[in-house]
Amino acid sequence: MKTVPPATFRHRHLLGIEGLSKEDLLLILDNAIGFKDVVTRTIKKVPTLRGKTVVNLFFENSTRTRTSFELAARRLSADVINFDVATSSVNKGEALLDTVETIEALGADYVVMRHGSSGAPHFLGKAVQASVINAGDGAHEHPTQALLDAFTVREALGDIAGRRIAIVGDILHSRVARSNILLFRKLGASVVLVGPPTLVPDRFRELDVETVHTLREGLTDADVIYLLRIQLERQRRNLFPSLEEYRMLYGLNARQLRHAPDHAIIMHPGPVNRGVEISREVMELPQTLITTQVTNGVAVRMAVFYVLQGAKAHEQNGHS
Amino acid sequence: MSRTVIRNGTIVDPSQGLHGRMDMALRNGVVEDIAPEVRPESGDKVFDVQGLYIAPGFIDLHTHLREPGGESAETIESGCRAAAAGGFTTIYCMPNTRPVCDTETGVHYVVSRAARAGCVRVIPVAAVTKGQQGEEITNMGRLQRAGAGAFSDDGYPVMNAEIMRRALEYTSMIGVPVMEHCEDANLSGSGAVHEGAVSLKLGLRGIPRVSESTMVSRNVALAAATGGHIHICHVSARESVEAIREAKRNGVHVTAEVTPHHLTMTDKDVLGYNVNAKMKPPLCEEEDREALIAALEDGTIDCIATDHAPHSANAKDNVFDEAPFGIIGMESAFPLLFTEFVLPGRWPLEFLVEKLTVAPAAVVNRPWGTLQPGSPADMAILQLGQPYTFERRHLHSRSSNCPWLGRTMKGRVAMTLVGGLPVYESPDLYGKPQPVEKPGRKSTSTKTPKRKTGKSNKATTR
Repeated sequence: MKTVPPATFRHRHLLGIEGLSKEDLLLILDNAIGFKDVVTRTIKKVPTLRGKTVVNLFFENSTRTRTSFELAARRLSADVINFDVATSSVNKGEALLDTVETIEALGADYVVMRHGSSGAPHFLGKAVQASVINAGDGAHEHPTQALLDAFTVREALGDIAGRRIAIVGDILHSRVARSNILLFRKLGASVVLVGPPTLVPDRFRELDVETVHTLREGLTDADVIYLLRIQLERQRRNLFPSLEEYRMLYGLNARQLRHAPDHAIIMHPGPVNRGVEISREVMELPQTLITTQVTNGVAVRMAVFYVLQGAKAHEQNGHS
Repeated sequence: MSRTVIRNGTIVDPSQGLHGRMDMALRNGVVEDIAPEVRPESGDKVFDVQGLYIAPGFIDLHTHLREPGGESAETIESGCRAAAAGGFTTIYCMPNTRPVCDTETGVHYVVSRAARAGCVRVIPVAAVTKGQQGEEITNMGRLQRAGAGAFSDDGYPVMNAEIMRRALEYTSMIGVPVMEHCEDANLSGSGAVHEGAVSLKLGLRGIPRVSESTMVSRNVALAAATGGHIHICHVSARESVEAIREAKRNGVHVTAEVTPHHLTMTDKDVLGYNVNAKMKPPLCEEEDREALIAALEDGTIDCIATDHAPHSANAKDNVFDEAPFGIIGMESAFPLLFTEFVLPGRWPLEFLVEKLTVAPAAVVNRPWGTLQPGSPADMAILQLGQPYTFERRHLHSRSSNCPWLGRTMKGRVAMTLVGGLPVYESPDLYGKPQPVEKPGRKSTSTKTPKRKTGKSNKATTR
């Protein structure tokens, strides 16, 4: 395993899939292959980030994503701090800057941030020296999720170009969907969004994707069926009438799955509402890769730290 | 009382169809005469403004001066100075202060603070409903006598149609407009930007166009039913334009304004989470912008108003969702619109001046925005064509939430007079109006140091 990071990545932060080139994406995905070897062998540690400090700054709770980042950083030998954030301040932007100034004063090299407001990492990125990694901002982007999803698709199906990805559910409020749309389009796949018009408005076509409103149409010819978590909060806002109706129209069960090609794989960013987005029986199928996604998450996040470290080293050597 | 003679200016006064080189005499704060040549007499103060343009002072029907209660963002005094720097000599200020301007005391407060500032004329707009709560109409008759020039719950829509009906019915007796911020609060929800491709892309909650247009339709229907005068604030969506056009065709007493930002920006300006492109109503799309320009040109929209909305940097420099809505606009309005519309040849200068002077005056049915003899000597002296960078130092507001900082502008307000007295003079004016020592002597302005050093001297203007 090589430990000198590549110098071809030119971004200080990872704020979103937007702004990354196809080459940037492939660089991360290719490096993740090596890191997957690291995380599956007996001694799961490399010294890439030795002496570096990674701060997890989560303004929204997410044990899963935070743990994945924490593990990735530790396996690269970084010191990891999980910072508790109080969000009671009158000005959330100011509170954010205060927190980060504190963190920088403590010498953080990386800030992994999740925030409920779209664009918050971009706001932060302009103000700090540390590299900011977006771990989810509002309904905007969740780039490492999209990267781990792409990694999983590559592992299962090979090349992404020419594949057809069906994303099912609450696209309107989903940062996972936005990042995945951008990433899969950049890598040459076609994307079809599936859901009711309240959650999948046809305006999404302006992002160069298809939209359909029945699951059956979405499943036809899909190589990847990507199910999103549906949130009860949307029902309260009348975006769909009930979980029962959602399950009936968009839940994936064995009967619906027959409309998809046999080789199609099934993914979900978690946590899953079992029996709503996906039936228990489909959960058990070998082509359902939800736990593989979680495993791959660590490897992909290691690759993200790795290429960012490469960009930093490059910058410090005065090349930029 | 001595007379002031302003010589050799190009007077642009759409109220009298004037556009040409003229001299002007002022006495006792009033325009005394405009003629091809006014001969200075002994004792006259004489200014030569050769190369500069003179327009009636601009009128802004929609500003927020934040005082009382929001002094960290603006005061009546700083707002007045911002107005003067923008060539505005009469401004209406909205009542969404803390406390809300919904009592005679509140109106008197604004009037007296403005008098103390001694700068531009300030007309308070009083609230339609007590506390802007949308429940109980204010003492409109008394408020008008105290000095309120219109009524508005601006910032909040009057959601209850019955209240709006009564407000329009009642004000039809007083003869002042209800200025309505048309927005269906349920449709807007917690939206931050126009609902469209940009909101989808940025993952920001959207405000649909129908949030404005359904309320415009409701309000013109209520105006039609009551005979009241509804003034639609800051129109943003093309559907709203259609509703106003239709109502005007049917003889409804409806007027409307559009802001410089809705005329020049779209939701694409939000990309990158630009908080200075966040305002209500939100910036819509290019088709909407074109519809607004066309509506101003065909008279569907009556006038330009800035919706000058100061917010302190502490509040505005924030993550997008948390940043308050609104930008300032008085200092930039003329330079921006001149640069964007007049210089490229889309509008004649008279058109822009009209929409900033007699047109807003007509909305509130006042004999203002003119330099006809006998009128107050309120005027904006303009320098056109010299490029410069619009910067923080051009702002006189306490706030700097302005999207045009750093932009090259090619028109500026050189001087603003209210009642014949200067209330603003551009500090970096090239070829500033020079007092002439002896009556009748030719201008010596070409010898001023500013002219020699002005590097803009050589710059091409187009």
